[in-house]
Amino acid sequence: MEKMRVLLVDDEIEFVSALAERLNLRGFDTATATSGEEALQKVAASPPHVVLLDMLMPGMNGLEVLTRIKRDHPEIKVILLTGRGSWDGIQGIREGAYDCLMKPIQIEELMQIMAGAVEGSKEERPGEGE
Amino acid sequence: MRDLEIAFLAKITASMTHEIANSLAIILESAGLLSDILNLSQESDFPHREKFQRILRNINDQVKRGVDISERLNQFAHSMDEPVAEVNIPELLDRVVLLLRRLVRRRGIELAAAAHDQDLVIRSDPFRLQLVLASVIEQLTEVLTEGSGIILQAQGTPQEVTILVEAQGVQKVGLAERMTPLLATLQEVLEALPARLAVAAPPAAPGVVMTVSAAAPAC
Repeated sequence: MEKMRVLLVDDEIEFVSALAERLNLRGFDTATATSGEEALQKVAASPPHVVLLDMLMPGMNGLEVLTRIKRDHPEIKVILLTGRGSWDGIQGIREGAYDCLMKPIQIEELMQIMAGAVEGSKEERPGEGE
Repeated sequence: MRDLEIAFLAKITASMTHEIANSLAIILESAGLLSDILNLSQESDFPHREKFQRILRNINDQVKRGVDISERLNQFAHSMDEPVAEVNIPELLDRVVLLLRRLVRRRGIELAAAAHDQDLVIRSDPFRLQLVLASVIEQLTEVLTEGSGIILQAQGTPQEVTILVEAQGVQKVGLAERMTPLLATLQEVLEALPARLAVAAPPAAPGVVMTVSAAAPAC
């Protein structure tokens, strides 16, 4: 069965690297990007099932990346990572994000959200992974 | 000029708390990864497994503590965003307790806010309100002996709120004589709010009463 592909996008490389390894241990196939531009390149080259996206990055911000992903790949589930006390997450949900998590994240909460995203993704991509 | 200075402080503080949160997120994920890798091993493979797991739980707890502190600081920074805002006074008192509890506890005094079951909102300057309350609390810690307590409670209407900073315990120095220099120091801030400070008179509980009037709407 095909592994669920997850793209992690955050300008803090140590954060994405550690989180990617944790998701790998849990059976996901991960890729990382440290900028919005790099994220869009990777999405175009190999569309993931789920994108974990930091909202606040230098250069292209998370909201712009989200908008472009939803425009070109509406089937991709985007989970936003926001800072505490930030309203970006709410705006992101309005713009089509699947869900929003506040950093620092709890892996158990992320896994619950990923499970929902994975189920939704299977429904939208019938035949994949069978 | 004062508003410019406060806005600068607020912006920098909010930015720095965001940086702190990012750093804590990295620590939490790295510790989590260590824990995941450790869970793959058997007890026989690694005799210190249990000790490592205990230390990792400790790291987890301290990160959460750091997140909590950073969040409070971020909220404090954002309280400086607007010179006049709708201020929920019971929530403000809770926030002041969280900010100052540790400082006050170092003098052997407990700081707490009375429980509240309804909102009490007034148009005021949240930053300056906290400044006055913190100044009053600081004076009370100079006056009270170890083992004492300070309780904050509020009542009133959207037009005028009364905050009692109650001193529970033995006063080693009279509060009234401490209030005169404090009033002089805070005069400009009190006029700007506007608010009044006074030593609580019997039969009220001993302490300081702060009366806050709603700020005039912006032109």
